[in-house]
Amino acid sequence: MQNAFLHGDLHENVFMIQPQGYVHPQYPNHVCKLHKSLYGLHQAPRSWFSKLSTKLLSLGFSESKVDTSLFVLQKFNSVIYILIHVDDILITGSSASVIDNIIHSLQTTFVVKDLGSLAYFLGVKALWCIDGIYLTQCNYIADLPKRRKMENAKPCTSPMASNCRLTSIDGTPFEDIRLYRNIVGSMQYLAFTRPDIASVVHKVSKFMHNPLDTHWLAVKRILRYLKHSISTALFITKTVNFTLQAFFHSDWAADRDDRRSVGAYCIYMGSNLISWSCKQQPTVARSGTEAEYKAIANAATELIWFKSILHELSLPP
Amino acid sequence: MSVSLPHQITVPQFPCPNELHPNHIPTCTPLVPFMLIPAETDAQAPPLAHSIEIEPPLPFIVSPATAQVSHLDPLPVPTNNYSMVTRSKNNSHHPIQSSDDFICYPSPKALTAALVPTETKPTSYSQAFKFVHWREVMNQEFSVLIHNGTWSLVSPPTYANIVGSRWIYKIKRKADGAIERYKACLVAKGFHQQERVDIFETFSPVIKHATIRLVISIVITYK
Repeated sequence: MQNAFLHGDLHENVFMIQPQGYVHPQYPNHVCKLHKSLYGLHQAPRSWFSKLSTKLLSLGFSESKVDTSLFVLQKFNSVIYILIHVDDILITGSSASVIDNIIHSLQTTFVVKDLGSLAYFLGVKALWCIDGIYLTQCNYIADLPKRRKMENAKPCTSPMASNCRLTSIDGTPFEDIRLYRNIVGSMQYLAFTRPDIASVVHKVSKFMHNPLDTHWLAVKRILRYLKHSISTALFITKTVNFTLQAFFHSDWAADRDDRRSVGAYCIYMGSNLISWSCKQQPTVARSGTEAEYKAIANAATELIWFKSILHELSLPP
Repeated sequence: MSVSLPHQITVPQFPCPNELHPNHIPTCTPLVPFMLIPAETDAQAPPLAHSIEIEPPLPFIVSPATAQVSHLDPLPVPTNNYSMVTRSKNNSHHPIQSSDDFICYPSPKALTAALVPTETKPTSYSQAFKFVHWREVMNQEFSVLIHNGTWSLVSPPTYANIVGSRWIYKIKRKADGAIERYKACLVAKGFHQQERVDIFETFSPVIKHATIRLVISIVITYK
């Protein structure tokens, strides 16, 4: 989708000064009253989305209640799903001709570039094989150490030492806070395909506000692990059923500073891992059992969400 | 009073500059690259006569030989102000000979210079409007905005928040670093906006990662 944000209609009264170099010679003091949205406006993404969703609804799609970015069309025994991420659109369905029709009718309103079958979406590379698909962010991972000139670092087989306990007091302040935030932020984005680093990234993310050199050492260790495991990919394969399974774990009083616990879960649909999380619990648990129950509750919430989305797609879980 | 801009605008076509020499400044400086006709006048009327004629830039022939550094020229003696006596000031231009009789040549600058993308994007309008190719893409972008009816000119309201605007420039490059095209984009300064004045509701249409994996999983199963 090109120039997506320029399509949206503005309903608020937004006045803008005339663009530099293009001031009207007869009305130099006039201002522009915007009718359409421009890049930079706060409501630009919203007005773009409402324009696009109006178009999709007019094509017969229905908006999912559980996830606003999912649109579903069911007609003539064919099902079409559309996923929207700002101006990147993923369209899939049971009938190729219906998909072509939809892309064609979108092209009448917007400037749409058809990139063919899924190969690269949101920085994630998709590699198709006979019985499934590999999702990998190898390009993104390869780019990470270059920011710190760590291309020649030795690969390492584990992301963190098992006895590593990071605290907010042990160590001296790390001088390049921006770099720390930059690298750790990128690692958080890697969470898309890498459940194996979810836990360690959570640990180093806690010190974004005030990183110490001990934390930076841990980050460098993760970078070395990523170098070792750059070819690791998330494999999604054919499943026999859509049974949802959740596994959870809690680490009671894991944080040395405030003694809050960490709860984690991963959810499988059939044989595919589709969701995971590793998060510090917002309140202090007074026993291991309490921490476990909180972790169960979080996993159950996610399960219910998946159940409702499967229900909406009329697939029995 | 409201002046809605008509769709007909005249955009003088600038000749496309030689990409090798973007720093060549054309001889003309007055910038009236477009002409707007107020709504009161007849839109079918011929363009006004006072449109400023813009001279095409002088032809600039680039021969590949000028980019090469001739090795036969005598190397210049540096003229600098500091007191340190360098080897070149002593008229010694031979490469430093290291102890193991290995002669180190300086890196051939003439060869590496072409590989490094030298052209940088302008950061402001005042830098960009000196170049024909940037003016051209700004004209294109502006006419697209006018054609879409993005705004109408009104006299400034007494009590209203007025946000700023600026031009953003991008150089789109191919994979090998060669310049594909220039891009200019007009943006509004959203940080001038005020809540409950000209912002009411916002939304970012981002996708939940779990949804993508779920849908891909369903697609693979039914493939």
